[in-house]
Amino acid sequence: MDPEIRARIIGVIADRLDVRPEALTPETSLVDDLEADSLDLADLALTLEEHFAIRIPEEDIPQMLTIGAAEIYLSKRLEGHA
Amino acid sequence: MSPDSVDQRVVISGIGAITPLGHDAESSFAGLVQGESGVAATGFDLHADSECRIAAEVRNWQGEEILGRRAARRFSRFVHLAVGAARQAAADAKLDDSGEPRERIGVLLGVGLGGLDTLYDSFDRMARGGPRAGSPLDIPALIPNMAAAQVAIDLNARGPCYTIAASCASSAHAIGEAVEKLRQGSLDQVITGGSEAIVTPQGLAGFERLGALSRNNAQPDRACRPFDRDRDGFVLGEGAGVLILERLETARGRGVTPYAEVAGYAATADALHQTQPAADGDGAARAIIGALRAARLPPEAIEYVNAHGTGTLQNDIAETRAIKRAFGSHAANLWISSNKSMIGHLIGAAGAVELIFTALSLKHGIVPPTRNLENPDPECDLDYVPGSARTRRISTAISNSFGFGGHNAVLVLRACS
Repeated sequence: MDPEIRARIIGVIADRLDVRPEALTPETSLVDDLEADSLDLADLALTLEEHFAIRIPEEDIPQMLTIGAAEIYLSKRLEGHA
Repeated sequence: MSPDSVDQRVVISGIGAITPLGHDAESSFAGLVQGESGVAATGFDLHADSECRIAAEVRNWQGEEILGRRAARRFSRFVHLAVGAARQAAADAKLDDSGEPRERIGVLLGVGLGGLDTLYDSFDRMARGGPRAGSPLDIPALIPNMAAAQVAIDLNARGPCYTIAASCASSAHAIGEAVEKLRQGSLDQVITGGSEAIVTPQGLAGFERLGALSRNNAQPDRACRPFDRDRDGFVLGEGAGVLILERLETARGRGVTPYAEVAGYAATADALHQTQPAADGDGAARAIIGALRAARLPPEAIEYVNAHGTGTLQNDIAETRAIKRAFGSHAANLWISSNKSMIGHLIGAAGAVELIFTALSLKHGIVPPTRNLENPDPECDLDYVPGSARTRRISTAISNSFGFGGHNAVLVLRACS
């Protein structure tokens, strides 16, 4: 996994959900641990979309519900495999 | 049941305000009494063509401080201000300790426009980046009802919750309707008042194009001059005022000392013009007369009028005529003053903040002055308390609020004996 992608994802999520980046691990759940609701998730998807210059369809959001899952999803998308 | 019975008397048991003169009600009122001005050059950049470059902003106050950064980002500034003022009012009324069932607490706020800050930011983003540059947070942040909704969420108030839009008279209508709701008996408390935060380049430009704003950029503290012959418009302000209202017996039962009784309310429409008030003050006069009748008070019983007093050419003459129509010869005995000469025009929040100040005038026995009234307009020939505050025990007062669209709302306050 690309450590730079992980750092960028963590940076975006930490900023939008107002948490310390150090507190985030691959297992961190956006919903259960960070209490993100549907508006937060939609906002995060659009922010990541802008950040990585790709389009994230709404139906893909369930594939990004932990830091690790988001990393896998975005890595694939950035490699053009998705 | 007669409105005179204890059961039907509705009182103010808590107040909260965030204004251009202070971050709570008492400090704001202290500034008013001192004749301080909250008007200054805008704290943000404006286009070179902007003719009005002054406003009455709430300075050094950010919603993040009370809501946290994550929650604050989800709401426009008028929501932040409403929640801040509502928390103050709830604490002041000791609602937190009441143990009362929250299903019997309603929220009824007045908002004139809503989240213009978010709206224009969203337009900007979408103009550059297309629809996907819009945020899912935009609409929930800016809709005018979100202040009341978020106050209900924040204070777990589960009774009726909605918002009244009547332009510059929004929150006066909300408070009056809250009184009537409490008299119906199905609620124990109503969290009421209003909030507005539209001091943005676009908000200023909109009112400037209407010719409503003072352009005295060189002397911001002298710009708003209600009833003065040299007045040239109002100054746009922002802020929030929230009151906890309840029946007198409920307040007494909880051991809370009320500020004052909201003894009467009436609302009328000019039904005449989109922005101009009725020149003869007819609609406003009918609202004053109706509110006095609802309070079962003769005109001669009123001592103080907290005027709408915007400092526009039309309002101040029409309001003076309305006061004369409603009070007759007693008009000359009234003390009348305009808070807007110092805090600017808080639009949807104006009626609530000014009613809170009226309640503090009753509590402290002090009437704030009308600042900048140096050379009265010959058509404005009543006693507008120019220059400095006056001290006198006051037991009855009215607060006037009038708005674009011809909305008129008047509230009567009476000291609790």
